[in-house]
Amino acid sequence: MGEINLPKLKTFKILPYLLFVVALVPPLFKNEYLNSVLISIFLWAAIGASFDLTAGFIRVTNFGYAGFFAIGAYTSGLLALYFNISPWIGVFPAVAFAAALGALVGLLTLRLHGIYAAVFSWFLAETIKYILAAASDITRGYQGLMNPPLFPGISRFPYYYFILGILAFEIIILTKIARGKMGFAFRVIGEDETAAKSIGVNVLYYKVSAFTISTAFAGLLGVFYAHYIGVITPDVSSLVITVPALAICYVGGVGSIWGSIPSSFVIITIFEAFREIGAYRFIIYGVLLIVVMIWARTGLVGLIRKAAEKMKVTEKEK
Amino acid sequence: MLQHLLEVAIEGILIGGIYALFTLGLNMIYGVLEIINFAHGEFIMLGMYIAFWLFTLTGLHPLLSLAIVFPLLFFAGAAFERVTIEKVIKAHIFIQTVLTFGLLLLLQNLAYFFWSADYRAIRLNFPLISLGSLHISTPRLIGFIGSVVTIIILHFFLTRTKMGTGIRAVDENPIAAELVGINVKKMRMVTFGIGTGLAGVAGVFISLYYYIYPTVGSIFILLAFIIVVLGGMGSFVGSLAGGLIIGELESLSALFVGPQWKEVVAMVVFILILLFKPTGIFGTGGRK
Repeated sequence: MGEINLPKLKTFKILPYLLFVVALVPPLFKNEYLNSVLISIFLWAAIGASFDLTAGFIRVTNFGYAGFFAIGAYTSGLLALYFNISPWIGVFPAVAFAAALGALVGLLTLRLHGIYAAVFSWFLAETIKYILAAASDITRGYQGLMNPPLFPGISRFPYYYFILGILAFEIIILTKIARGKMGFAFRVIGEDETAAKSIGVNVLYYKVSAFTISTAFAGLLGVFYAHYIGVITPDVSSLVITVPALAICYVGGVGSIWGSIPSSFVIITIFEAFREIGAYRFIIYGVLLIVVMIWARTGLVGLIRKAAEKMKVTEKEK
Repeated sequence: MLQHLLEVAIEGILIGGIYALFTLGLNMIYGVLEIINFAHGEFIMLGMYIAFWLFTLTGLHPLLSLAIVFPLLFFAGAAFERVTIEKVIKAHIFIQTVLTFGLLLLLQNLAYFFWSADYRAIRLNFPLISLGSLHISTPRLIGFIGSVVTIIILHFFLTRTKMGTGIRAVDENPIAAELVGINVKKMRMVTFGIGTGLAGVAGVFISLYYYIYPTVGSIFILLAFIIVVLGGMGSFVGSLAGGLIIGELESLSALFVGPQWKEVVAMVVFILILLFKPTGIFGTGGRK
């Protein structure tokens, strides 16, 4: 499992053009439905990419991802409700809170054998859900917490560009990290923690960093989600969020960062095109995870790579 | 008050015995295959549903349905191990974890799809047992006795039969076991089958006193994780003691701080153990 899936530098040269094309979609098509589907795709791609930083690099599957997402969403939502703080300001404490909790979990996972870390984070998200539901006097529990919109008006236009910007920013930052010294250290820890320690890698520092960065993005995306969707319930801290995050990341190609983009595109489009199968969503996610883990561990990224290599070979033959 | 406290304490021991049973299944799988079966709780759920449907449709007593539940879940588990887990047995632990998590999603949502989210229960009238002025819940007592009997049978299987010895050998050292001619692959398959079978048996006992619904397995898998952490990974005795302690803690916390905080209490215990004694009370630290 030593393969490196990171995008080649060439990909970055394509990125501005790609962004430009995608940015043209709303004014060209003027279709609110299309915009909303694309917003979902960008949001889930961003979620998958941030999930990948722990899953694909230090190799800790964060089954509690939704907990950090919920912390971001509820912090900003509650600040807006009780202190009338705009989400544009509330986003800072929200992200800080999610990242701080992430750092703490990262710290705790040091004491835990690989597998306990996964169980522990899952517990944490479940506990956050129970607390959010139990403290219904404050959070309104399952009645739902209403959040003010980020932009005036009912158009999805501004949200489209905002989440596209977040996604682009996140992919660039995470890829830079993954390519750098830090990403290398993450990989070494992911491969063999004991070996990493023995060659002098500061496991504490890097594990906490991976968790902090990943959960900071989780918190940020939680804030976006809360104010975009409008109403949130304690279920944002449940598998309803974690499972698609996990599936999009692994189907895309774990350890690649950008794999979540094609995977989110494919998965969200399929669920949108065939509304009837929405009820069996989680059955499909379950089967997908089993299949990908056994037969296609490099995910869509692996497939794309293979296809690209084949094309190169045939070009040379010509 | 004292009488009530005593009744709650006895109840804690009774459910603790059942918890020990399904935790043993999880722990055995970990010992031999070195994987954590996230879908373990779903096999408990399946055991509960099979008992429920057999009882509702044919009137078969839940205890008699054990004769169907154990073989059925044994073969289901063994087949799943051979087809999927065996293929990733040497892969990184995260791959195996995500794989069994996929199975959890699949089973849980298939149950939801076929049997809906309705809460169901097996309604049987058990005679009330009283010890002097103490009242004891009969279904829990039956579950406890059944669990103890199952654990004793398991113990004899592991220590007195050829296959049991083989399983223990693989648990001890898979490479050495392979060298002396033990079919390690077969042992892995059988162990996974026994583990899921035990989960199903525990599910039948739980169905005597608990509601049955598609996500019920999540509660028990979380409990099983806490017990494993408490008793120590790979420790037979630890699972027994851990089961009793957690059963007791659950009953007492429901009495003293209210049942809605049960999960939070369990979580706090879990964190405290991880912070101060990550290898568990009886654990040797495991091999990982």
